[in-house]
Amino acid sequence: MTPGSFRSLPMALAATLLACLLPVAAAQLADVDGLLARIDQQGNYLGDLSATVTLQSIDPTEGDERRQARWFRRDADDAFLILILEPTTELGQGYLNVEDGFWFYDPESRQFVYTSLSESFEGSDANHDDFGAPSYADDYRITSLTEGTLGAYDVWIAELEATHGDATYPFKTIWVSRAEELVLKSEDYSLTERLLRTSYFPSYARIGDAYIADRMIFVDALVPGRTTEITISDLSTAELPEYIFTKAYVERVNR
Amino acid sequence: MQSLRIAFRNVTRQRRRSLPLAAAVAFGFFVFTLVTAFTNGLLDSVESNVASLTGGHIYVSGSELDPLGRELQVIRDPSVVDAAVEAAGPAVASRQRRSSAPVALIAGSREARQLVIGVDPGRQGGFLDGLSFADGDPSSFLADPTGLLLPAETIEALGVDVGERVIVKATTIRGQLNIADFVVAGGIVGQAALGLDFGYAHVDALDALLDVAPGEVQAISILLEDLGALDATTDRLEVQLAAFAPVVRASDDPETMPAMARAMQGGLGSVATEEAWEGTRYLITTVDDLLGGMRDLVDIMNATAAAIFAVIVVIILVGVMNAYRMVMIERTPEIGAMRAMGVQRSGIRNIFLAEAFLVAATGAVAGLLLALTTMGAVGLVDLGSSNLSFFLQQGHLHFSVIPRDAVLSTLLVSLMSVAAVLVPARAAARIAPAEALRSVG
Repeated sequence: MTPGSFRSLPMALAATLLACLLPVAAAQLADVDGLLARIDQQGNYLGDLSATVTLQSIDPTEGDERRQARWFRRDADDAFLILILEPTTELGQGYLNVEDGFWFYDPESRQFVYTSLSESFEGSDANHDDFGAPSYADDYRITSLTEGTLGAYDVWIAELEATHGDATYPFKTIWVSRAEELVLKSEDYSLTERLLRTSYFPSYARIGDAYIADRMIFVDALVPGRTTEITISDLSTAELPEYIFTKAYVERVNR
Repeated sequence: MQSLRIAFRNVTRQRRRSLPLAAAVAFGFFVFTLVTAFTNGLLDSVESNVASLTGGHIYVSGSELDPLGRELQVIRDPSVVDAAVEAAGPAVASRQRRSSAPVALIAGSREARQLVIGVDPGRQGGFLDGLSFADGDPSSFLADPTGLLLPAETIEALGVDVGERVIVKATTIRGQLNIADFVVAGGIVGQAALGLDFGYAHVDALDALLDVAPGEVQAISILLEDLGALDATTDRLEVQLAAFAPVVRASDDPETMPAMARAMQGGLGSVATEEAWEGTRYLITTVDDLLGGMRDLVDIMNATAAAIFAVIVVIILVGVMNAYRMVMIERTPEIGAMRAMGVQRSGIRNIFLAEAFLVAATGAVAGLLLALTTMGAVGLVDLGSSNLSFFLQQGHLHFSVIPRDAVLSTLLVSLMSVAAVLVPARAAARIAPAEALRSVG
């Protein structure tokens, strides 16, 4: 820099300040570049998971409902299985996500029916794909990133747009804690960019290097007063047999 | 001719014998004609109503595979189908694009599930006439591009009135969630018992919700001038489409029907790598594929009616045979006199046969006329809008008499009566004139 490059002292000071701040901003942006990938990495567990899932729905018209299920998950194969335990009228119904698709098993008809991961789980505000490992980096790109706070947490507020037509929600806004880079809140939008639901993830269980949301609250944006809360308990990392993620097992467990 | 004249005189003179025989034939013919006309009319009505609801008699849907190997229900280039339809022959009356999706309807705090069909009422004349309105009218639907016709039960479940707004939530053809506002334009009488409990939206509005791009379609319905040309037209359409892309007939591959049902449910099926295809694969479904069970039921009902008719005819023929044995005994002196006057044996036999033919033919025609009168009277009764409306035509029972079958049945019954009388007729012809004259007395 040569004398006379800046016309005044204030301008020079501002330029100096900017030069000092640029590396910080650059470092932060570098961090942010991999934000979605890091969220996915933390949300994927390398081993097997099993747990009890309790789903409490509050519906102003239909009334409150409580459901319980066993949940098995193997992120390495992108597989999961949910077996309904309660209510007893639905005991034995199963949702199996494996390589050849996502299947619903009805023990009464003894048939597997193809269903969609983007469909609602048991008529609640949770979707089937809420029970799988996160895949933000594959499905979305960040269109806007700002800093903010969510309660006591400093967060990144990232607006996301689906990178392909297969993501359940074409648009999302997520609130990510800056310290642990965990998603604390998510607003999920339709293709017409209208809010469908708001999700809260107030609690995570740490398993090795992974974080699994063990409490999720979904607030319906279309039906006032309707919410669904999912609590995950009895979380186990014990290795699961290969046959768990098969149709044969879902049928056999009913017998 | 002389034999026929004498036979006619005998039939009219001996009314006490002729009338019960003719009445028995008439009753059997009446029951048979009524039942077959009813079942055929039922099938006609259902076919007509299905064609109205589904927009045609032949349905062409398309699917392609996305990079993840999932089957997407869309025809990117409908001009291929248009060209194939043009070349498929003159029987095509019209064609229109259609969409369908299972949706969630939300009004306030209430939600209901509904399968909604996207229609183009401007291109499908008579579509709205085929619906039974419980509330509202067709003009409200035509006037509003976001109009929605819903089964009355769905409207009740949502707690809304005609003219109110509802949110429609659906999964796009790729599996994304989407919502849009629609206005309830009318309540229709659904057909839940038949699994045809559809709601209807304008195809443009539904396509926008399902993210079907302008110029693309989910399916094309083809309406025929004459249902008799269904098989030939479908065959030609398959050949034409096969020149451009893989084609599957629902009738040839039952596995494709679940795929179609899955598409109706909004599911995205995964396709195994070895079964994958390039571009668009077309699925041709016909009204016969959809109504296979119904057609079988009608065939069973018609077969049952034919069996009942056969039993009645056998009973009648035994009666006719016995009656003419008695006639032969009663007329022995008369036969002797006629033979003495030079009437040949064949003449005597022909008189008996002609009498039986006249009685049976008169009975059959009377039964047919009675059946036609009954059908006309029952057909006038307006059964209104009800769950039965799918089996009706504009609220009326429809009977279908096939003229060729009616003529053949009349001839068959008459000829069988002739056959039944053959034995007593021959016996009468063999009576010796001298013996016959001796019996006078």
